[in-house]
Amino acid sequence: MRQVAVIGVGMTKFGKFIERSLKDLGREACWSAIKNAGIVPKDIQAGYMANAAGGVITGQTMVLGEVAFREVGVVGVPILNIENACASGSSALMEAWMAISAGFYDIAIVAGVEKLYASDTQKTVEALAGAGDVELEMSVGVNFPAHWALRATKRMEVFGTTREHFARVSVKNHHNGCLNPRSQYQKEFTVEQVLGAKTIASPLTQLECSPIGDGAAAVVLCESKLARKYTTQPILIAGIGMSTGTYSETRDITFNDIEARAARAAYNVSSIGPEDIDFAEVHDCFTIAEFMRVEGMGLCKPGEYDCLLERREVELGGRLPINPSGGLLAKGHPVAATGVAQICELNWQLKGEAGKRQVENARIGLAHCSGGGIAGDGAVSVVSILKKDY
Amino acid sequence: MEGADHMSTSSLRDNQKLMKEGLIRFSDDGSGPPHLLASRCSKCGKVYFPAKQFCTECMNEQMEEIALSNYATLYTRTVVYMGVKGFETPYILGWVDLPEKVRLVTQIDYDPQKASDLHPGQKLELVIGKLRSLADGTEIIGYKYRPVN
Repeated sequence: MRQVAVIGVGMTKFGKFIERSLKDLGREACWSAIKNAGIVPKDIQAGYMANAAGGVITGQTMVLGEVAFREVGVVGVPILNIENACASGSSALMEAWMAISAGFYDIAIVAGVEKLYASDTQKTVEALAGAGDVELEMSVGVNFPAHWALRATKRMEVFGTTREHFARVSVKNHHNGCLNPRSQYQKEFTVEQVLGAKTIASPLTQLECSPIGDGAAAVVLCESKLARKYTTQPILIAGIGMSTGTYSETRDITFNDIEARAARAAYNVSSIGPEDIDFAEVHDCFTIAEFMRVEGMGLCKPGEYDCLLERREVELGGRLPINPSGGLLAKGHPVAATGVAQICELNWQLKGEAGKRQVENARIGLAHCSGGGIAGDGAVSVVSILKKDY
Repeated sequence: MEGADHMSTSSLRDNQKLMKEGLIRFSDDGSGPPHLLASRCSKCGKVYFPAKQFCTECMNEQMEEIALSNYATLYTRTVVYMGVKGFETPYILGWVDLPEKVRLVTQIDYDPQKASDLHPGQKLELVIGKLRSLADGTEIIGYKYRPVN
């Protein structure tokens, strides 16, 4: 296996951009990643485009990759379009990493582009609900807030987690979002405000659910020896692992075994363990999800995340900052862009370019991105570990 | 037509439609209660809901059609305030466990204001009724569960 480095990143601000097209958002992110890498478009040998809801929202049902990459001069090379719900971006990243690692290409671009705001909100709601079993579960009334609220109720029963614990995640991530100029929301909230917001699915309130949003992110990957030609500060992809749900009907839903399998694969291939991680971007689509994912990946023991929050260990300045970017809750969650944006954040943090939200002495970062939900299990989970190589 | 007992497919009114064919078994003449329809592997005994034609555990294609028990226990629940289109909010959703080791996500037919009465392990029974309405007024009929008195 060849080593693969991230040599360039680019990202739009996340937010509500009714007037901007998928192509337009993709162009901005890809162009800034290419410039950041110090390459020209003709150096790129393959493109991987992640998008989940573009077909439903904008009518661009196919070949978004060819359309958007053409805008930045990436033409005449293999291009793949990848959908894996909210993990589309990290799935695309994994494909590009494997292809370069295996020696098929030396340089590839990965982009995640999404527009969720539509003139008809119902369209957005339906597109997102499609990330589950439409035939059997959506038809009995399950949507994503409910999917997670059911687990939140169980966790409260089993571990004694309180609604205040859940709210703390929202408070923390919104605080971090205030320090990130690309964040969709830059507003502080108190625990009382989070708990007092409108209930979406009990016990979760609106401020415990990630918002819908538009945005794009892109990264340029390069074989690590060649990367030295473009940068003196290479950031290596130490390893990526993916898993999907087992949907077992006797599962203990207070532990996310899907995250354990994805993380184990990433830890094995990278020879890095959970104890080596300095900070992590974790898929906090709902406050409860951050608990389940951090514990599933073995970053703390099952049931222990409540204490980490109480001891402020996962805030900026703590032992293991979680979601320094603001996470999905504050930075926003343009579905397929999320996984790629997490890699942008890891890159900035590891290079010391994260400004006011900089994690001190960050050498190894983890990005976790999940997608979909089936039978109370996750559909897909991807864990990526990046490290500083200088 | 609320209530699981004594109904047949002919009990459905013109403006009512099943959520999906093949999930619910009604007695032919409406003389007995409907059941959820599943399949059981004749080799390893694994039960599949919805019914499957083959067993992915042991490659067996000899499946026996079975009616699931009409009783279940509550595993966890939530009250949904912002729901799927066509559902009247708020509504209660739960995961319920059936004796055949089948876990279902389902609506719980109970007053959402009193959801705190519902506790894990509580005994529930199957009820066939309206899940949601389509824009043209069609009622979608499916399975839900309610506490046993």
